Amino acid sequence: MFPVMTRASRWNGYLFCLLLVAMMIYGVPQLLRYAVSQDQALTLYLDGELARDFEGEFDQQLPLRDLAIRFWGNLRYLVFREGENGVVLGQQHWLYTTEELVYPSRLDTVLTGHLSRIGEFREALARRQQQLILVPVPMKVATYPQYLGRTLPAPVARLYPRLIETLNQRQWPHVDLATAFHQPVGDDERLFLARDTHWSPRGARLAADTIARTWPELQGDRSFRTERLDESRYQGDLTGFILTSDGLAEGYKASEVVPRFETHGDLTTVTSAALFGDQGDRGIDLVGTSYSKIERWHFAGFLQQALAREVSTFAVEARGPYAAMERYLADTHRDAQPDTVIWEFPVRALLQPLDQRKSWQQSLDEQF
Amino acid sequence: MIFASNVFLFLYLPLFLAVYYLARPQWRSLVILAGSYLFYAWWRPDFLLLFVAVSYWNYAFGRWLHQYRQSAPRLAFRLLTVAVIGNLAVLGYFKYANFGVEVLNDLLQPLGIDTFTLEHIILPLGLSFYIFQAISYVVDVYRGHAQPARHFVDFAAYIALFPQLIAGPILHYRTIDRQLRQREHSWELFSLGASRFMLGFIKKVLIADSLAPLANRFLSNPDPGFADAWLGTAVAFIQLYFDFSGYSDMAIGLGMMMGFRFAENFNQPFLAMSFTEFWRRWHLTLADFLQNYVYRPLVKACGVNAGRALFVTMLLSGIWHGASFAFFFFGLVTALMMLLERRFRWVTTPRTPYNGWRHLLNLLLMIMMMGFFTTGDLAHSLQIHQGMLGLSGPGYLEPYLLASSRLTLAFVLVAVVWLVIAGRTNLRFYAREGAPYLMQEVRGWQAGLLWLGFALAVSRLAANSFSPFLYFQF
Repeated sequence: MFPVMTRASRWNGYLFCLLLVAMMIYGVPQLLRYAVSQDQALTLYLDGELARDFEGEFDQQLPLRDLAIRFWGNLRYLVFREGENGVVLGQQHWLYTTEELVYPSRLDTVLTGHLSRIGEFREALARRQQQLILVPVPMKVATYPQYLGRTLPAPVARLYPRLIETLNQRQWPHVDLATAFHQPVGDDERLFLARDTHWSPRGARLAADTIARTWPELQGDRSFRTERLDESRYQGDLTGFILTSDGLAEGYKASEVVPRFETHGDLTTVTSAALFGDQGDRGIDLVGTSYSKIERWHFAGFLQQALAREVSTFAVEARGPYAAMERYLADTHRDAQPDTVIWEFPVRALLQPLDQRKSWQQSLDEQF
Repeated sequence: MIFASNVFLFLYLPLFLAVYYLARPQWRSLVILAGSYLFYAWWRPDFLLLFVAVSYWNYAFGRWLHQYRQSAPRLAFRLLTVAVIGNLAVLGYFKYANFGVEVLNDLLQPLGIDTFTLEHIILPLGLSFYIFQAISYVVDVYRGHAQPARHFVDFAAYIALFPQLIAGPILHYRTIDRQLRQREHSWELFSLGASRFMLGFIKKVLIADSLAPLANRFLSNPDPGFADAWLGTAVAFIQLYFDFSGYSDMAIGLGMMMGFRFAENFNQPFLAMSFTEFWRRWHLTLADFLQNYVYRPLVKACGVNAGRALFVTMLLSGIWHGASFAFFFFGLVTALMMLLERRFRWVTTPRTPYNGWRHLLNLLLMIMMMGFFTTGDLAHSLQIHQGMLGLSGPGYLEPYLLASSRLTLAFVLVAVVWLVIAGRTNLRFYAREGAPYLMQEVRGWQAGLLWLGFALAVSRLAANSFSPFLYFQF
């Protein structure tokens, strides 16, 4: 004998049946429509692909889906004042990614792991006669903690100075962007977008200028001119975490104005040595993440202008800083490698343990 | 296919039940079989062949065992041995071959002998469960506790019965045989089944899946400190309970909708005051299987000492859960704890002035054990245990609280309140048998509460899509 349900009102059964009929009326036409649209149904079915594909489509097209997403989004916002998992709502409609706030319990060990990984890349580049200049990108939450609406955890606040201190001790070439980023700037010159993870074109330009100021020996003799074109409205990536109904939390979903830039090289400044076959200036390689990859921020263009040198970008989006460097090192098809590699490295990556484990739920999700 | 998915809820279930109830009673076993094969093949149609082969192997041996059981008992015993070895060989290959090769390579490497690789073998869904059911069938027929299935369809329907196919409850053929021939179909039972299904759906989709982000965040930390190791494992334990007991409720409810009565699988395991009691409250049908088909034969037929038999049984239980050293240690520690409890009679003295402390101590020990269970990886679980013992520093909850949604934390609270209410109900029920309890009869406001929870769960599923049940990996 167990204290479990022993009886239920018949109305429960009637209602459940009614619900099943309604579900069937909705579901069967979906299935038939899908079946008619498939050419290689049997082959796909045997692979298990057909079922997965149908299930994905069925989930996406469920009429209840949009309503349900809004319902839970509204509930989270109205009751808990929060967005979806992964975002932190700040003040004055600023949004922050949680990746900048979650720090591992043994940050020292994690940092040591990262530094040895960076060191391995540094050595690999040195073997190719290339100098690595590390450019740690400050975190948005550390640059603009005033909009967070709560105290910034001390380990997060101290992360950048700690890293710079270690780089100084090890005498690894680097650029300290934080000092420049913490100088007061006007509201229209924000270094990060309020509702995006990345820096603004202003932040990218400041980073490029700081690199050029810190490493004057990198200056070339090419002339580049960056031109401001127009402005466009941009929907920040973090607004995708606010899934409320129209009219609710509008400030957090608002798009932002981002100016567009274009950088032109002045061909007349190309040296005669380069024209007649000598290697001349082999430029600089920029390895990085979405901060370099997304053209909207125009980091590579600003860097070309600041250094007066050609910059080739090797950036990978959404995979972290190491993926880009691994891909860069794997590329052995180029005739001449530049002497210097600038590595744009978002500091928030240092908060992720390198040996992060997959939980059993995550492993199962992949299996299905 | 997964119960807690839109395709199951909006398409498969209504279609299956419509065909099932429109079919003549004599065709219903065939409808169950076809429906169950379709349900299983949804994931990987190729593994259906293995499933049919295992079913036929055991069906054929069941008939031979019945034929020779009395006239040629020694031949029958040999046939039984072959049947069981065949089943265990399938389980061994698909579940343990990868692990075995890994261990063998670790042993060979230091000796300078060439190691070898094996193509990664995928564990077919539900294999551990349906192999156990198949074994229970041949053993029951051999013992004379069950008649062999008259038709292959009946036997295959028993093995494939989709509500319990992937993760139990593990059924005995003798209890299902009667129901396959004749079972009750009534609005009362259907309504009860629907209510039970809804309850399980709420537990899985609304609670377990809501706890998953927090548990995942904790469990992906390779080196947790004291606070995060304890809290993380506790949350993962609660998630596991709601996930698996939710699955079991849904399975039992679906069975009732089709006229079947399945065995209960849980009885408030968080109330346990010892490891022994925990296994009397958690995954009851597995404990029942192990008792009937491992422990008792060891004691009665092989004359093994009860303590040793218990040790072997619990060790096997650990290994059954997964092919890794973490599960081996899970079984080993459980076995040692149960032997200690038996030695000092902690189980047979249920009422002591220290029951509160016993309860707390057992809960903490169980949470520690979950380190093995929720990671399935020995190195990672040892790091969690190191954290729990305070050897990795105090740990920080601040980052988790900053990064976790308040909705998730609210669901942790809901889960704890649920456990407290269900625990009190359970204690009162056994103290004053016959006294009414919450959700005993689902009508009036209790039905309203159930429908509200179900509506919330359906909307949550629609918004987030499904996530598989945790026990599918076993």
